[in-house]
Amino acid sequence: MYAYNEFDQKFVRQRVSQFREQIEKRLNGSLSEEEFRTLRLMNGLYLQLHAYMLRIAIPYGSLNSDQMRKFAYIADRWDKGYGHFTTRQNIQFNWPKLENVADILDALADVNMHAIQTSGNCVRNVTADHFSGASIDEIEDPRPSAELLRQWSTDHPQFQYLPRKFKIAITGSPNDRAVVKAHDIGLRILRNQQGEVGYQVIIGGGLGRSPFVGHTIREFLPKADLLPYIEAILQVYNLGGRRDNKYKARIKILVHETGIEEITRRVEENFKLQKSEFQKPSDKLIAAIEKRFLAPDFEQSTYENFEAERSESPQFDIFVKRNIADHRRENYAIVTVSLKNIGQTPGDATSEQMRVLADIAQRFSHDELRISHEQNIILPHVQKRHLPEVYKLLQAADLASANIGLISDIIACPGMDYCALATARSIPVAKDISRRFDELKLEHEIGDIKLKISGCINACGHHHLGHIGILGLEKGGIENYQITLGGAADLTMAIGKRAGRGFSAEELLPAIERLIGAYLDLRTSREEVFLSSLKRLGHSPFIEALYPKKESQNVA
Amino acid sequence: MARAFVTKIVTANDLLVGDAVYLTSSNLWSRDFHEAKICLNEDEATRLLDSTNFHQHHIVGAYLADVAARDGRPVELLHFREKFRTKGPSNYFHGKQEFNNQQGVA
Amino acid sequence: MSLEFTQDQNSIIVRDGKFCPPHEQKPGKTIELKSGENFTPADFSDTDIAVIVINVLAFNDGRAFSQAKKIRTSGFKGILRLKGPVIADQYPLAIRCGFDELEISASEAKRQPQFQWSDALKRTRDNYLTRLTEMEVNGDQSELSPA
Ligand code: SF4
Repeated sequence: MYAYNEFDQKFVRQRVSQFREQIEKRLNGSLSEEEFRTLRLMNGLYLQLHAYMLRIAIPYGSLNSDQMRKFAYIADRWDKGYGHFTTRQNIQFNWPKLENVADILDALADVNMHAIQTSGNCVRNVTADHFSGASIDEIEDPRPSAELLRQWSTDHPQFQYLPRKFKIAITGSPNDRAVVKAHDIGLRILRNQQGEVGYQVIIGGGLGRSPFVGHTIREFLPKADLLPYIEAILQVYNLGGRRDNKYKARIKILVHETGIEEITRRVEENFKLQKSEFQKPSDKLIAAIEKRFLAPDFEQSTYENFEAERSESPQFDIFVKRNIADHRRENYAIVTVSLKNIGQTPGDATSEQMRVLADIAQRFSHDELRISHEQNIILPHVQKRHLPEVYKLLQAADLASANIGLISDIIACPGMDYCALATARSIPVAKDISRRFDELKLEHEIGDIKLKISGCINACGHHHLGHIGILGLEKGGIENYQITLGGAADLTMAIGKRAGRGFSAEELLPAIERLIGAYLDLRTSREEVFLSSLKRLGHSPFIEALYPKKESQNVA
Repeated sequence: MARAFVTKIVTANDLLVGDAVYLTSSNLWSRDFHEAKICLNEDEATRLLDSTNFHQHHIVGAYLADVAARDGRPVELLHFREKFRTKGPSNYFHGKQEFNNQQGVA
Repeated sequence: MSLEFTQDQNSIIVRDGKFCPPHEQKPGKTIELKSGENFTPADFSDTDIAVIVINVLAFNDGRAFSQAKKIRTSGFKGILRLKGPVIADQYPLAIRCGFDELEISASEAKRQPQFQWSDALKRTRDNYLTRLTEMEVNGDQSELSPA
């Protein structure tokens, strides 16, 4: 884990006292609501439907047990005993009061955390592969690069008032688990032919109203040039991005309207100027940061008990199959803890669960935890010999759902249960779907599938990237849900296609059932997952299932 | 033909707590929309909304919401978003519904 | 407070954290730029520009920050002024991007009294970017210095 130095500490404390003053200024009239709004958003504070909401950064999704315990403390002391983990590796508290926010931020600073730039038109929390530092396929741990970007972007004097928000994601593996092509800037660590490590730089990806797959602007950027190159992109965007229309203000629209060739030219030209501004080469900075990432002291161990438990307990065996991924150390495993219990709100954890997870991480995962963009929690370094015990502890805390990658492992944004921008609810939809397929006992039969739900076109729930995507809208004064098919979030990133007219809340669940029914009928075998059937057969048989003939005759 | 005017009330979020509040005829903010002042025409609605410029130290983001009214009092907010704001989220029993229940109000 | 020393009848100059009179008229031109206007002469040493003023219409129009930085990167040594409805919290950012001073309206100055600007100015020094770009940071034994 990255440990703050004196400067980081001082900076974060200063920022808290600055925000305390800003709240004061809003209350005494020195700042208008419009001005205060901009400033509070830069400090992660939203005003939602029922209350304020505080979004706290979990930089590149990594945290330790003390930090997790602090979330539990905040949840109990100033909120309602739970927190919501988001698709951008943040945690949100839904019920803080304005007068307590600065105290919450001070409590966070005690454990090297903050809420800086988790909202607002600035560079947001940099996200990274949630298996960083543990996965078997990694070229290099992306977190030191992500930490460098965090430092660079924090309070960057030019880029606090961008045309719109700016999201950066980075992955260190060929298997993209950070959805880098759906970000304003996506970075992929790779090796060139000389064997040097650098980045593929992708820009202009994004979801929302106009979804785009990002364009590669640089096939190979040497590590030493990271900051000047990113600075060049941001400066071109800050000066050129549209400010006349909120929906056209993201860099993806600038790239789309100007053309990637012209943007590349501007960035490369600007990059030459920036190189003289950045006197410290980025690779040296990253190397210095690496020293502050305390790598775990991996142990040697055998794990006969693990194999024995697998053959004895079918339940444990299913958990292992669904929730465990290969670790770079053969005697270790990566455990994904599902926050998607049947019928519960995706991504929510109670303060009690947070404490249990913190304890498990401290005892069994070298004190490390990760948050995935799929709203689950990762224990990245668990010895296989400890897995049976970890499983029991998870079970006792209601955290042992063996459903990773299944239909109940739904990504869902808060939707109109909380979000002021929402056009419909998404949480009840997620709960209904997971309950229904659990009742039908079909979950494991259906197998791997990604279902993602957003409560409005902003697409925080990544619905475009779901094999099945659900978008909540309003139609004629009631909630209405549009289904998209065929999205994908990995390196083959694809944007789902709209299936047809939307469904009312009551029609939606039966429609999803018909869709899944069609897949089960049409697949060649259990090995052919939903997305493969969709690719093999095209969308039409699935659309027919969604809109059966009888109904279309009625309409005609 | 001009669309028929729908009766309106003024709503906002409380600056300190953040929850939904409603402007009453005594120019105060209530957490209960039943106490809100209703506007029967466009002019009245615009005037009442404009008057909230002087309330900026108490509230955030005032706007008009459609209501059904009976005997000069609002009985129901018409849009589902506004209905949710009078209760709270559907996944937990939090927000206004907690307190409504304590007071025995439906 | 007396407004007679301000530039426009109704505006106030903020310099070094204080409400100040304008500079003595220096020899050389004053150039007024709109927010976002591209202006980067190849070589500033050749020009007789003494003052560049960048006008913003809204506090959240952040283009001026990059404009200023670009103008400084291109070698401009004269006075750089940000004019418009700036808020005190933006003052450190403006200084760090290369502005020397701000010009705000009297009503802005009334709403945000002088101490807010002098307090804000104190936050200029401690920032990440300087540590990441410059070789020496006030003798700080930062481990970020290249080995
Ligand atoms: S997708 Fe829309 S409703 Fe959902 S969290 Fe984002 S803005 Fe809110």
